Amino acid sequence: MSISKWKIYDYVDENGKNEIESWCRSLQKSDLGRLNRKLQMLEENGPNLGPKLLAGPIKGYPHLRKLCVRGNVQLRPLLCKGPIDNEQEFTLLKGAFEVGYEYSPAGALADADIRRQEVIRNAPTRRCPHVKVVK
Amino acid sequence: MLRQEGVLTSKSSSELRTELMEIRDDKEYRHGYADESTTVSVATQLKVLREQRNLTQSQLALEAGMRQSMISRYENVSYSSWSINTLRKLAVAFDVWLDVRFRSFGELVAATDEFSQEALEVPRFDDDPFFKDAAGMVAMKKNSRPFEMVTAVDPRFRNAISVEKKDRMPEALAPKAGQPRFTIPQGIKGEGGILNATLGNFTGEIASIY
Repeated sequence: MSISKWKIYDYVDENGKNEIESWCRSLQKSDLGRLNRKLQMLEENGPNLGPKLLAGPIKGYPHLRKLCVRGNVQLRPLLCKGPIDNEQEFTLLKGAFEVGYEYSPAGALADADIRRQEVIRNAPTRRCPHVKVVK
Repeated sequence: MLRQEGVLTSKSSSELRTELMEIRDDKEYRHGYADESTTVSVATQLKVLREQRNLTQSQLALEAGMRQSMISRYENVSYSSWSINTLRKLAVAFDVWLDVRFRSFGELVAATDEFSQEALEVPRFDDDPFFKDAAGMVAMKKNSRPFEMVTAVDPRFRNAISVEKKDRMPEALAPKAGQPRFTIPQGIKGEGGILNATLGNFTGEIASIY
């Protein structure tokens, strides 16, 4: 039995809206199933057991990582270690896709980086424990 | 972990079970989840087996007759375009058996719960306890000196058990750490298939169950 050592958080905007949960709800069911399996692995086994579970660091954004999920569309949720406790946490910052080697939406990386700073400034209100969406 | 009795005993298993129960009505979701589980499992186990054997990707590639870049690709939890034939070659390189089966979603709960480096490790043939034990038994029987044998019956499994004197047991037959412990009536206590036994004045280890 694996014992969970990692906690996953979702970014919350200034109005208290869980942006990650909203993004997850927009996904097709099979893609959501794939995403949830990978997130579960990250939570239960951490980033090191599954080879290349997390890709990164991303050029120009040293703190960002992406979770690669290949389904009907290429899911690339952007996340960072911590940023409060780098040994036990990941925070999902931005839901994104990859289309033709480009991120969609286009400013996803910059957005994620800004959100990380927001979480660092005010973690209690700008993130919450990951809400698992199951359709 | 899914226990023998078919009861999910740990909190984690219970949570996983609840999680999967939630999606039982959605075929599309559960197949996406299961498909990703397979992809993740193959890539992770390839890396675990390679590291268990202290092989570099290049060394494994040489063993399997592939390029190192392909090994690197297969060891990626997002890559799923391997073929059965490729996995067969890797099984030969690792000296293990490739099992390809269709399985129920209920089994996915146990498989997900057991997902860990330890659970994914598989001994190569030369280190396989089954064959080591079997080889030990053959060697023991060939080694002339007569050994004491007692036959007992485990009422739970209704199997006959032969018991041999401990001092004549080859090391390969010693109880293995971490194997499930259970108690058999008539004073026999043991671990896994190789059991410590006390029958009257006799103390030894179960050599075989047949």
